[in-house]
Amino acid sequence: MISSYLKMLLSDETDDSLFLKSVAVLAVCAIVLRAWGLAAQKLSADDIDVAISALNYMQRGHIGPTMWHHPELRNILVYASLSLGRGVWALKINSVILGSMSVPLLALTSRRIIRNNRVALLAAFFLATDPMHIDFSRQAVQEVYMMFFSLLGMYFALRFRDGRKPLVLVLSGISFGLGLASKWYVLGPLVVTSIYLLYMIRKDTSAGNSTRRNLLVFVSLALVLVPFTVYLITFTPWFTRGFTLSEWLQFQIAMFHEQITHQGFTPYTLELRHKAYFWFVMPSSHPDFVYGKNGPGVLLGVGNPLVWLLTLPAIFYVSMRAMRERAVEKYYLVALFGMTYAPLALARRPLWAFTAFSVLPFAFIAVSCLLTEMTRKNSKILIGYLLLVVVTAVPLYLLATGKGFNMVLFRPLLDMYRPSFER
Amino acid sequence: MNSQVESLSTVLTSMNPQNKVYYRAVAIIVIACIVGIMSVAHIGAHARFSDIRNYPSGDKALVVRSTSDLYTLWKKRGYKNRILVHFGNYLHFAPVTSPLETIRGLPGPDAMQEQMRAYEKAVSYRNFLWVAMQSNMVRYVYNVLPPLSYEKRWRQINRDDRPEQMGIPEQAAPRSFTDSEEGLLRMFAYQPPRTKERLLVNIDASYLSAADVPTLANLLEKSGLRFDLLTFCYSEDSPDVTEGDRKKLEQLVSLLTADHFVQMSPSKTGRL
Repeated sequence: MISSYLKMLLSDETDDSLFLKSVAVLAVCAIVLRAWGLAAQKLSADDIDVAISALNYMQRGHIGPTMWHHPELRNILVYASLSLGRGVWALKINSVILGSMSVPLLALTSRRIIRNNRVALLAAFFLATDPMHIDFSRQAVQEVYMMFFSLLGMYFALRFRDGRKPLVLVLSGISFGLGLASKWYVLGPLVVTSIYLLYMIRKDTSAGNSTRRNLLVFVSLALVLVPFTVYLITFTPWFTRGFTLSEWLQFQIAMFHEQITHQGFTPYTLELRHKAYFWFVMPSSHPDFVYGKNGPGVLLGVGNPLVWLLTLPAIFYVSMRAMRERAVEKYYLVALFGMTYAPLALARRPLWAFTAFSVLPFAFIAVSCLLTEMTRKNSKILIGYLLLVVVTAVPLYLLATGKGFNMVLFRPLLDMYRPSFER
Repeated sequence: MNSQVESLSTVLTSMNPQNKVYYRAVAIIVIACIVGIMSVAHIGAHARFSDIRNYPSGDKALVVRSTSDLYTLWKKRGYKNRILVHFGNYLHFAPVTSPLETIRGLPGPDAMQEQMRAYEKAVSYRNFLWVAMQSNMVRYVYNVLPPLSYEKRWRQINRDDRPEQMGIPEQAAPRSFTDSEEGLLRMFAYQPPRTKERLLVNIDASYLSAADVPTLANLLEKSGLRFDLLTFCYSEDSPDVTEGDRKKLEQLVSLLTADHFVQMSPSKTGRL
């Protein structure tokens, strides 16, 4: 299996069955990395607050105590899993599944955008082994949800582009709706994907004028009305407190106001680097403090710098290729990254490194495009680079899972994240 | 009519099959989404009036001694998901720490009941409106403040949101503003709301620390508020309310009774 994956990665193989087998290998790796030792991992304050918030929301219709300014899908999914069992797995299984399944989904979606198996598999490999993504796939918070539902929405939209089956686009609308109900950052990919589809339909001269007109109306409804309705429906428990639709709008405005002014829930978070324009120019990380029977610990999620720091050059490269080749799909990729990243980079409020998950899939696809081109004539360079990525990821994995906390080797690094009042 | 149906049928029959598919898909999406949106709105409407069957035919206007008594009265009457219009100088919205947040472990199956018991045990003049919201007796608090206090409150809440850090310039106080910290909806104003919904209305003696009786009486009589319960609360449990404020509240009750704004038996116009 692994040799088939390597063969696919290092050649220009276009065999579908081999590609799918390779995707399956990556999916299994992703699950193993995210699930290993999870039951023994200590809980953070966020993990516990997520459990309380899920109960508050589903049993009483109340929002909070944590992240009241974000939408409610997390509360619904966590409550469902807690209803089926108790303990750490019941609390975190949604993040493990959605985080792991983002990996094969990224491969499938990348292939629909770039139409290159190697690029798709590389992007999926980077996500499968990214320590920060692994860290947050092992927490109860909803950070990995938005990437999964964004990718799912895009995947179905691109399938509709290729096959024009109406049900597929409805599934895309539902996926984007669930993504918006995780975090509002999914709006960027939704808008760009809608514009891309509308452009492709207008360009399609094989269909008659009336068919194109009907398609445009259908696409607009499927990617506006359907996501909005799905998003609204996730607030049903809140409506059981007797609220009206106009009160719901008031609440959305309040959420928006908090989103643009939010300063974090503890003063410590402002001691961390919190500007999005640093994400791809310096190593990005985020610590979470955890507690257990044997004392405290730290989960330190660090984005693999060998991959993350190639993002901006890669986006520049893909932009140049898009202009030279007039390749719409490359413009689409650059727009996905730009439209999602630009508002975050320009935001005045603090934004922490995990928010990068909203743009990370597009970053990884672009980096994969760049690497594929650079190593086309010498695959040994690619092998060497991938080995370096893995070697870098190993210690970062220990930090992301909390296992590095008690290792002397990591003390100096972890001391850098000590709150100022403890120094 | 028949010729119109025939021509529509001809159009549909001669239509491109692909167009038919998209027409059908559009129709299904629009209908499904309208049904979805209306269902959610219906759930809210059903919850809004779910306490009407339980509502006892007691007095509609009552005097209560303390904020704790007021909370107990609402609970006894079984009110659910109401809008409360609260005339007062204070907000009574200090949150109570949930016992679940102090335990470093996952909540158990009775966590919500345990939490609610802790909230109700802590009910006082500082927080009774917050607890009333947590218990779902009240879904929305409309705070009517004396005009001078309203201005002060606007500046305080605006400052708390740190607008100067966000580059938002300082604004003049609007006619009303909302605050939705932790998802709990509250409106602040110096005028009562205009709403057709039947309300819970409470006049707290503290309002009269910054306003006079005839002005408040006039405000109430012209408000057009439709209420299921109007209470006059002496807030004897609050150290911030003076005997002078409470005497003014007695005068207000007498004035409103004389004006037939409320009907109260003589025994209920004094303090209980």
